[in-house]
Amino acid sequence: MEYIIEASNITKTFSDHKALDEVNIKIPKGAIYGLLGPNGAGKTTFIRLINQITKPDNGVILYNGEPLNENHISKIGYLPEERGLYKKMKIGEQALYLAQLKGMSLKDAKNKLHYWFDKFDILNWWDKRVEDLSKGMAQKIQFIVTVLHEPELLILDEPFSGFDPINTELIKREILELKKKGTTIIFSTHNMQSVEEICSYITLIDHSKIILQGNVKRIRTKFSDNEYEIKFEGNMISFTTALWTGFELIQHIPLSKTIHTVIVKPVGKTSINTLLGAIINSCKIQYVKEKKASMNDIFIRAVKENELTLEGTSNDE
Amino acid sequence: MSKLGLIIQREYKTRVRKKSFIILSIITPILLSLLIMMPVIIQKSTFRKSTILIVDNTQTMGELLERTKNSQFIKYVNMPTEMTIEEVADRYENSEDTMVLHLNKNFGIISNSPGQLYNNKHPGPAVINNIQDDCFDLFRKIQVLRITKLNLAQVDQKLGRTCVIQYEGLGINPQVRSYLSLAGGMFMYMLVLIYGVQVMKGIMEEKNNRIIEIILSSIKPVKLMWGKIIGIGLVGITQFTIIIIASILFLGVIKNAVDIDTSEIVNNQIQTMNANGDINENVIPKISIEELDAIRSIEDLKNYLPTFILVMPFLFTGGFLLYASFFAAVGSASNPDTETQQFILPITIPIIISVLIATTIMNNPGSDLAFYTSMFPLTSPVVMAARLPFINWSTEWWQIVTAISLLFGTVWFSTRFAARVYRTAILLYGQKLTYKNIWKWYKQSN
Repeated sequence: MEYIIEASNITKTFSDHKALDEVNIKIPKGAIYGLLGPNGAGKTTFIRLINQITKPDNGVILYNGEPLNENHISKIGYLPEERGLYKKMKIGEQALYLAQLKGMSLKDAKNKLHYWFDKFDILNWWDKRVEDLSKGMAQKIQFIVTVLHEPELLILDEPFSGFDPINTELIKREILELKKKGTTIIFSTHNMQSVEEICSYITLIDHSKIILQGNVKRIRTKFSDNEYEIKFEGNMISFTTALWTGFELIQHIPLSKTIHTVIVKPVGKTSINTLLGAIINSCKIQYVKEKKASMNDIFIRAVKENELTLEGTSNDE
Repeated sequence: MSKLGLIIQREYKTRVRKKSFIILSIITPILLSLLIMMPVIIQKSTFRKSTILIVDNTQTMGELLERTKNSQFIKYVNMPTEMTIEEVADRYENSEDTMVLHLNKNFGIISNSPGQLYNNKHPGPAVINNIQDDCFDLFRKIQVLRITKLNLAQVDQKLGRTCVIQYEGLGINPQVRSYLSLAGGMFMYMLVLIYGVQVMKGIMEEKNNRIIEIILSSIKPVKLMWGKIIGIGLVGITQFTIIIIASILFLGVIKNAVDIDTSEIVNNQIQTMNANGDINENVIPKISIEELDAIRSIEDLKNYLPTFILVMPFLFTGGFLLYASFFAAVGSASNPDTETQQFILPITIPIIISVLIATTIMNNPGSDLAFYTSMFPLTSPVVMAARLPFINWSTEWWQIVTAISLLFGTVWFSTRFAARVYRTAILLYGQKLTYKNIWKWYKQSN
């Protein structure tokens, strides 16, 4: 697998606070990579390191195999969580300025801005000032400015904050479109639903260390409790009888007199096939699905477990 | 264009286009020019030539007044001796700029009191003063004439029209020099303070509206800081240049408008000084004190201009960079909810002290305080600007060179200090703005 970013043993300390501690992250090319963690975990510090806003105390960051340097700045697009624009400056002028700072020529920037403004149907905003726009409108401009120079790597920190559901969908669509074109996206968010929807890999940072990392599907499978959700039409007593001792009934949700949803968990090495074989004659099965852990649950579990470990460590000391 | 160039361009363009910049650039030169020319303008606009009809009881003084004291302001007409005051009054009643001067018979020889002035309207104090001056001048000459037995032309020649002190050194009138000193000091104070504070406000704006992180993903923090300082500094230099050029232009326009021909007056002065025989009073136009002051001021300004243009840009650049770096450090360390006032005050105190010292230089340019504070980098931009009109280039050039060198030496340190604080503090939010923290951020940036 080819990696656009390879960060090895990254440590960053601010006076008495260690923001990142021996962090290793590899971001595959073309992936949407979720960077997760509680507030203050070290995500923004890591993003700032990639953007070369600050430098690591230790460790190396490679960009396409090369040590990170000034030439890479124009290849990266960054939409920070706390983002703003010059309030008194006209929008068109401002977008041109920011695009040129990213290394675009004036002519190129004008053409591309025209394309994006037209696409988002905001051509009439060109001469408006930012102070005349709503927060959501300003967010659109910021998104355009971030992607305008067609970066290879796009870093989006809470990109949906401040957007209404319609605009959230619009931005989500654009992100997926960019992925299709081959852009690698680092996606930092607290919105776990969107992580499940669009991320293929994640790193979960807590207290400056990585506590979970890998492919989203595998992580969800790993964290799932081997539970199955079954919806069937039939008699609940017959179903319970079929469970025998090979399954544990976790939850029962009666939807009507004859229709039920249940969550069951095999005991020991019992297979779900055994259960299905036992109930197939007495119930009409509507669906069976393996119940995967949500990213939200995984996040909470991983962080809590880490805190318990840290508490244990400090108590031992 | 380089990224630094882009930052400079934006900082420059946005400020130069502001209404406040345009207004200040136009109003300052107009005010400066008007300040110099105002007395002449007022006099010219209110002046009307008066005719003084003299009813002379002295038999001699009326004729002398008519013969020697006619000027562009006053025309004396000695009435025939047979005319009574009532007959003369009949003549002047129809004309509003005509007055009657009734000279006492004792005026000239015994008394210095000329007599009574009659007028339908209230004459302006300037007219009365002029008549009084003329009468008193004549009275003194008559007194000298009585003692010396000379004739009036000889008395005139002995007494002269005016006494002129020859100024050494720069040749600038001490009074004009004082004004230039005060104006230079105040000008520098305003430029350094206004543009220094603009650097701080610009940095605070970027930090507090959170665009800073977007910009820092494209350019290094120190470059951004320098772009801002250079851009705003260039705005200052532009304004400085506009004000100087516009002032010169306005002065020219106003000078023409009030119809003063400097060269003619200078020639007349030479003519007066070279005259050996009888002085023909009619050749020498009488110039008012206000006009003469204005002409001298303009001539002195012309003489001072090269020094001003040569040294002031260095003083401004150094002073601006020095204070802008302090303001930049405070701006980068601020937060939306922090009160920066207490940090601005210590920075502005040396500038305020400089202005206070600059005001004393007018009266005491050679004091030790003036010398040392014009060398000390925190006060030198303003104090040296105020001392500049008093500097003798041939012997004191080294003082200017030393002051500018010390200033730029300090700027080297201050800008490095600011860059280090800026680099760390600009992305820190929610941290308290304290001296301890500023020092911590400076150390951290190591």
